[in-house]
Amino acid sequence: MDKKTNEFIKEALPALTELKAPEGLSVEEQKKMFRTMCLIREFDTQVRKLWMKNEIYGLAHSYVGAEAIAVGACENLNKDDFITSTHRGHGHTIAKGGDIRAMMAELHGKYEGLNRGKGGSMHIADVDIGMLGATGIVGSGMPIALGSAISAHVLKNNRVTICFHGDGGTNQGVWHESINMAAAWNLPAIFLIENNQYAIATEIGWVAKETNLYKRAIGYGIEGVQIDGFNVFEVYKSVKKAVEKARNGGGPTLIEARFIRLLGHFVADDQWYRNLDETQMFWEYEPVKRMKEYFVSKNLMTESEVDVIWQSAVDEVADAVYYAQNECSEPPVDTLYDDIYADGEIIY
Amino acid sequence: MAVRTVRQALNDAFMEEMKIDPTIIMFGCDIGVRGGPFGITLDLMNVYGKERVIDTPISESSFVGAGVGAAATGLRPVVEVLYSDWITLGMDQLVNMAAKMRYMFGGKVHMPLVVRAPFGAGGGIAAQHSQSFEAWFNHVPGFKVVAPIEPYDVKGMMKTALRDDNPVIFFEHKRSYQYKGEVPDGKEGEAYTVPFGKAAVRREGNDITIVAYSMMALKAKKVADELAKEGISCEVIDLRSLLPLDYDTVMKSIAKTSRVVVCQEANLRGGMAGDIVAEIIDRGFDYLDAPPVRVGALNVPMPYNKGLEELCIPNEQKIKDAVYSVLSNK
Amino acid sequence: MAKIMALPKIGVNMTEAFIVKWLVNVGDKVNDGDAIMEAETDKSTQEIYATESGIVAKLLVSEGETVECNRDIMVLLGENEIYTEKSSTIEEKSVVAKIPAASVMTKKGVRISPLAKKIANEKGIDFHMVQPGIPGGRIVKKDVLDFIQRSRSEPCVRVEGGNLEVIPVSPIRKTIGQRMLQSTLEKPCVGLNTTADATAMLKLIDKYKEKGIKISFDAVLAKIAAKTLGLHRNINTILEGDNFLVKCDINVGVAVDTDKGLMVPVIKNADQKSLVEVARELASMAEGAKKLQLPAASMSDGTFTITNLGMFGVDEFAPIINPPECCILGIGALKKMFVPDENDQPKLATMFQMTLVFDHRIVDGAPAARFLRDFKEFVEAPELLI
Repeated sequence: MDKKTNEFIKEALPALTELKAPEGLSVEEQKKMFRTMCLIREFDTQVRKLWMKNEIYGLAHSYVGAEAIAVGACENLNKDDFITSTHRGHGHTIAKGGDIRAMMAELHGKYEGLNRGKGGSMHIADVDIGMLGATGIVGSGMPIALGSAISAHVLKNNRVTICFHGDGGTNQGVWHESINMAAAWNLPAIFLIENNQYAIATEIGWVAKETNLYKRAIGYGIEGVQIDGFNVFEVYKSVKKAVEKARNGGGPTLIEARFIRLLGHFVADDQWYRNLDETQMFWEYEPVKRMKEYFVSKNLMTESEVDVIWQSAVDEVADAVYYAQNECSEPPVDTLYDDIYADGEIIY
Repeated sequence: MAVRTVRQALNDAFMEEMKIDPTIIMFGCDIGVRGGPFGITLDLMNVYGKERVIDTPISESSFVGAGVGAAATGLRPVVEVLYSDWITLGMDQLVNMAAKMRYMFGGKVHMPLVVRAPFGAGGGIAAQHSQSFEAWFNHVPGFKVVAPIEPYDVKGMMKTALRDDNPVIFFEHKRSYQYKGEVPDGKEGEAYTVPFGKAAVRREGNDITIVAYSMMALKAKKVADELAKEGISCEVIDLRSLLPLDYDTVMKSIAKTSRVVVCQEANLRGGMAGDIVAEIIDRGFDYLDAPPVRVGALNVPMPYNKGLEELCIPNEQKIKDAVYSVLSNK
Repeated sequence: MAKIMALPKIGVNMTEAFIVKWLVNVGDKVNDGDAIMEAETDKSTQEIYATESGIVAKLLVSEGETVECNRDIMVLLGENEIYTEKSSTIEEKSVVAKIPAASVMTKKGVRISPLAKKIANEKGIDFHMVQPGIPGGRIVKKDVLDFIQRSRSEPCVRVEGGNLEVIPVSPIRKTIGQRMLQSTLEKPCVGLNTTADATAMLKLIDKYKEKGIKISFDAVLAKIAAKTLGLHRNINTILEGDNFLVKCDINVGVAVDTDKGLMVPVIKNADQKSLVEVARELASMAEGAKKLQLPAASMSDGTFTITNLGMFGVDEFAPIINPPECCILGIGALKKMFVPDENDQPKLATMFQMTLVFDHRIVDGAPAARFLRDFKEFVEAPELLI
């Protein structure tokens, strides 16, 4: 709304960077990454529709526009590496290898869902594949990531942890405390800021003087990097470097993936506090479209081949929705008290 | 009289009080530009400016603490924690500083702080967004704790909170913002307040007393209306104020009816209802013709699935069942 | 396939919307994302967008209506599809969580509420004597008060003359007194006692009960009396001066205990009424008598009276004849006992005693005994009533 705000947003974004495939990333792997991005895109597009129809309810936050970050980062991780997430957990879960059908079942509150119907979108998790869970408390992932890095260090299992968080989270006290400890003890953690410029309605410029958040790394004695969050290969490259460093005992890295939030904070946010016309122009930067253009312009795939991949993602999501709505069941009433305590213990 | 929603009643209270008292400022995420995600603080920034309606970073520990500091040094801050579940992030500043500074520092500290914390469950918002922690604050000497639900009380008690020199934890029910009620308008609307420590008798009766607050008070009134058709006459008390709590009204009612059900929306274990029942027994054991019964949610983190969630939240049937049980003399 | 679109939720707290204006009509083609209506929510008037594509077949809500979220608002069809209304069945599932109740320790011995205990102490009562209102339950205030009421252990407040209370004799009590005295003085009474087997009567009552018709024990007795009196007109007789008036109408009275005293509603022409009619009339008159709303006409012109004290455990008694009648029949309590059957083997039967008190001026012992014998026959074989 504020003219100053929009100028700030325009200045904040880096220029449109070129997609340059990194060394050692084969075309097949690139196509796989693209498909995962399509999957996230279609998944969250459908989630929004389902929410408006009240088939999914409660709180749901869309990862549309941020696909490059989750996918570029998780491509560098093994199944037993960990990630912590935010309230915007679908993208992280899918990128880490989450089962779409089980996720969709969870959003529908079904027993076959990842969280047995008890978490919903807000708390989507799959600890078995290293996804330590979406959470509604901003910043709660950071000390968890710190702890995860400590475990890896003590158990000497060579695992790394990526802590995904937003620009909003960087102002939580625990952000400072977690990075400080991880840095002081050279722990295998990567702190990845998904800076979409907004914390619900609050622009980062209003609540931080230094909006180049990566510069805070200096205070902790670690390396800070700023990259184009809409460029999946940039994300891939910088996370790859950070992961290698962490695995080799080099300690944490602070990566700021800069982009802009394309949709609202949550699925039904009408965003009246933003100038939506201006926001429209940033769809030019969006990662899925750019990756498609990359494949076509570099003659790695034809347009119709790209569409085939896109369509397969659409079909997979449609299948997941069908599965969730027709082949899944409500949690039985007597599972209400399950999993409050370990080993089936129930205290009423 | 005018009809206002809870949301409008709060907004009116702020509009009016911030005009009279220039030391009232507000802290919270998205309260200024966005008017708050629930729309409670709509337009306040436009009228009173960015200096007084401050959009904070997501730093509850610090902005709650900042509220404490500002209160001690001449301002009257209203701090909003969007979901009361996140008040946990500000607990240290509230419990160890706000509630205790006056006492620890020889009585010379002012602490006119209001913390707004919307609580309550429903709608599938799951474990981290559905809790009610009024019992925690009841436990700490130094706080005042209120939980009104009628728009008349919400506005009147917010005004009282904004004029009170103590740290007040103001629990709104996050699902009550559209609930409508009559509120005085005009000059009377601006002037009236509702005091703390006074409960409201919503319905008179002779057979049993139902003590409740917030959303449970609305449910209790509905239950009482239905039970009247069965020949059971319930007296419904909406506490409105939890600390201080109006035991005089409660005990007077129990002296009349000899039976009581105490309701809370929070899960049963460790909640307000237990403390209230113990106080009732202390103050009037001999008046009881049956053991008091508590109603509360199941001791489960709130699940996402709507069917499971419904099992947990105490509904009208549970209040009815409690009444039947108290009347059964078994 | 027809697609039904519901009002989407476009805000976390949105529960309903006021429909300001439809932007589409039946027959329009609509795409997912097109604006289809203007609606007012708590925040402002906004456009609502379609969540499905298709051709508008029916608008299910109208402008000016307030509609809850998730309520169906529009039906969309594909090309060449026809819309047929489907009746929706709403399934109501009531689910209850099975949670084990917290174990409650039940105290052995007397359980009493604090309030009841306080009252008992104040009134000087040993609460161990008080029965809880619910067997096995807790003694509550009401139970103590009931106990006090029954045991009348309230301290006496004396009025003059050493009396607890001085109650003037009411007109009803005067009347009862006069009639009882008259009957006793005038009538040379003799009582005849017999024991009858009620088993068949009770079976008959059960049969009616299964059909939903309530017949009281006294109603059956009244009907039996009517039938028997038809065969023994000498009992349906009053003595007036020097004449025996053998009455045409058989009017059977049944004694009822009320707050004001004994009253006898009379079933006129009971012989001409069916058992069910007699039962209904008796029930309604008894209720009327208890409410003290029974007119005097309903209590006059009786020719025979039945009085039943069996419910109080009385085995047999000799009632006072209701003047100017010839006889009165006193009914005792039903008791299960062993009696010899056709093979002299013991069988369990429900027996009761009947005492016929007759006025020896009007009939002698033998005719009275015959009446009683026939009465008993009907009692033990009520199918003979038909």
